[in-house]
Amino acid sequence: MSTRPNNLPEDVIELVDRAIHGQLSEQDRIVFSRQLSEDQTVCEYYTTMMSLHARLSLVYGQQPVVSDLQSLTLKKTTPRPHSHSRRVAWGVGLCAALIIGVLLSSLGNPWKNVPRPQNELVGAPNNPQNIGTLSLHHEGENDSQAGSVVQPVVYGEELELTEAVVISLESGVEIHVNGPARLKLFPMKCELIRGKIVARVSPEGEGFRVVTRNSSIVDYGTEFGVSVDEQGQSAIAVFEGQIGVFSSRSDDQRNMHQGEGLDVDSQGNFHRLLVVNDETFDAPSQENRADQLITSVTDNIRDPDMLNYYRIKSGGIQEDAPIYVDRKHQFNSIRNDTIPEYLKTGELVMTFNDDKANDTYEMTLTLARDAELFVMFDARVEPPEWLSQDFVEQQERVGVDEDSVTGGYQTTATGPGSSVDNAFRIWSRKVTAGEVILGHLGGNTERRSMYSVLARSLEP
Amino acid sequence: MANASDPNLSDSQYPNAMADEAVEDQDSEFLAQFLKEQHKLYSYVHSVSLQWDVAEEVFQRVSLALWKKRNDYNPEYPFIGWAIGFAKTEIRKFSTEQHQQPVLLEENAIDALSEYFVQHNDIAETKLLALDECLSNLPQQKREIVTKYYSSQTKVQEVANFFSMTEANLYQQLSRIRKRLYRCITSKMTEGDGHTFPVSPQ
Repeated sequence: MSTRPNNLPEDVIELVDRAIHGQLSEQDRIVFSRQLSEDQTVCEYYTTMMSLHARLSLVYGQQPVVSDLQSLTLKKTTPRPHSHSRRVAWGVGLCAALIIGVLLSSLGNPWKNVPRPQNELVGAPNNPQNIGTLSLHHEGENDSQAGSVVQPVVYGEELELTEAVVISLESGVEIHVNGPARLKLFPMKCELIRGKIVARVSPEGEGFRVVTRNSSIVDYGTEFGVSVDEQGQSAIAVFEGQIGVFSSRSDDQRNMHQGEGLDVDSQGNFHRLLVVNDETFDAPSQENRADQLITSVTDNIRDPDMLNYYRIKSGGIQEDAPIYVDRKHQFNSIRNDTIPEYLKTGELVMTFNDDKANDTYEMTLTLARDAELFVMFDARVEPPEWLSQDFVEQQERVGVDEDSVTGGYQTTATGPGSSVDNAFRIWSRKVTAGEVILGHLGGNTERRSMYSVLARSLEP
Repeated sequence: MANASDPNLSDSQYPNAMADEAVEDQDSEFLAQFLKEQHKLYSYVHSVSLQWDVAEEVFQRVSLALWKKRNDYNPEYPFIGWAIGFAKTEIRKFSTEQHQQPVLLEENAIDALSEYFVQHNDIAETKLLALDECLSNLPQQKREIVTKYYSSQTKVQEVANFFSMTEANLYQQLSRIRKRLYRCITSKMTEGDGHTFPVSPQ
């Protein structure tokens, strides 16, 4: 079969090839320029081929970052006080550094006639067929523990998995698969046909994509979850960093940041993902569904266009557990003390610290069973009426280890009593199954943090 | 007393949290648009440049120029048109700095390509999505060539050696693969949502 597009002369196609390979002579340049300016079909063919060429460079390219441009750009983005949305902080902080520094500079060199540094190949294994390894992820292992290596992963391999595994790609991507799942793997792409994954992408793996039947997700250096059900509907959530999501069946496309989630229906339309819980991306659905205590969390302030989700985590509050979906702050025991035993089991609702300043805020929890509810409330803030009248204050407190929101030196530390910046008082109340409404934080001090909530079933 | 410009302040120490919201939202809007359109802008800059390193240089200049002028961007108008306008200015500046042989296409070709990218912005994304599908359907041997060529940090001669080809043969193979992908994209576009190409595959 001929490869020549039928409306174009061979010499034009030849010129396009030479232009892509950087091989145009001066005479070629003049002739080709004239053809482009006079003939729309030449323009169309050339721009499509060049876009294709640029896309391949982006998909497979592994060019090192130009650090001076990045730092130049970073200087231009002076730290700012956070406003009500963490999304904005990401937009300015990450994007400025990432977009104008990293993303735009980390493109491959497609023309090859320009000699490039002889760096060690990234993502090019000794055996060109092997692109990574697959390990079993045993129950009880934390995410940083590597399982036993079971088999290499081969380029383009389609896997049908029945249990939890970790796939480490040499391109710098780690994929936690929670079987059952079916997926196809490439160095910079995962086609998720069915199942749940959480992808952790190192800076080397930026540009990694997860493609589902109805959407394409492009990583911009981050951690995110994707699930695809039997009907082909997807759920997507960002745990850290930023991603771009493109619908393959509608015009919808969004950039998503930490704490944001989307449902993509079978028509490719986007909807807000209200809640992320253990079964959304992390565990087999059927095992957890029956045990789930908190079945929904909503509020009265989220705009329909906002994509923020509440995250529900089982296993209670442990040392260094994250508090918020929009911050890296952590729970810790107060120095010379421990986290109270009654907080170490149950389901924790990770809230938005940005909501602390909203005086009209109301959260509605729906509980499947009777439960004891614990509210961890900033000790610096006078308790509002809804809390002091209906809840009972406990003697214990739990510490808050804050992370700087501006990239300053204040960071979180690991372990009991480490780097604790302030404390939560603990309030409790027994409630029956159904809806429970909690009010706003209140207080007039600028130094305050949003409350969080933990629910423990009263049924054995 | 808390100083809002101190980067070491903790989360709860900012007294004027809402004060910069408008500015940040504007920046966020700009950056979101930039992220969305960057592939097209990148393709445009490479289309008018004759060499990869020239394109990269121009692209970085354009990116910084856009960032500096981000407050001028009006989100009610298409980002790509505004960005390409800036890119043309940067390209002209770059061109006048070159005293040796030309490194860009002629001015009339640059104008034609600028107009084309702006006018056909709406189908560019669809083309890219079609390409993703077409790429996954490439036969394994062709995929290996594409992967090795575009991901390798080595010179083209070394890539050719890897596949036991001459450099000319490798370029020829790549050209055929791109044409195959082009045909795949055009057929998907024609079958799909009604967008058609002026040039149809044979």
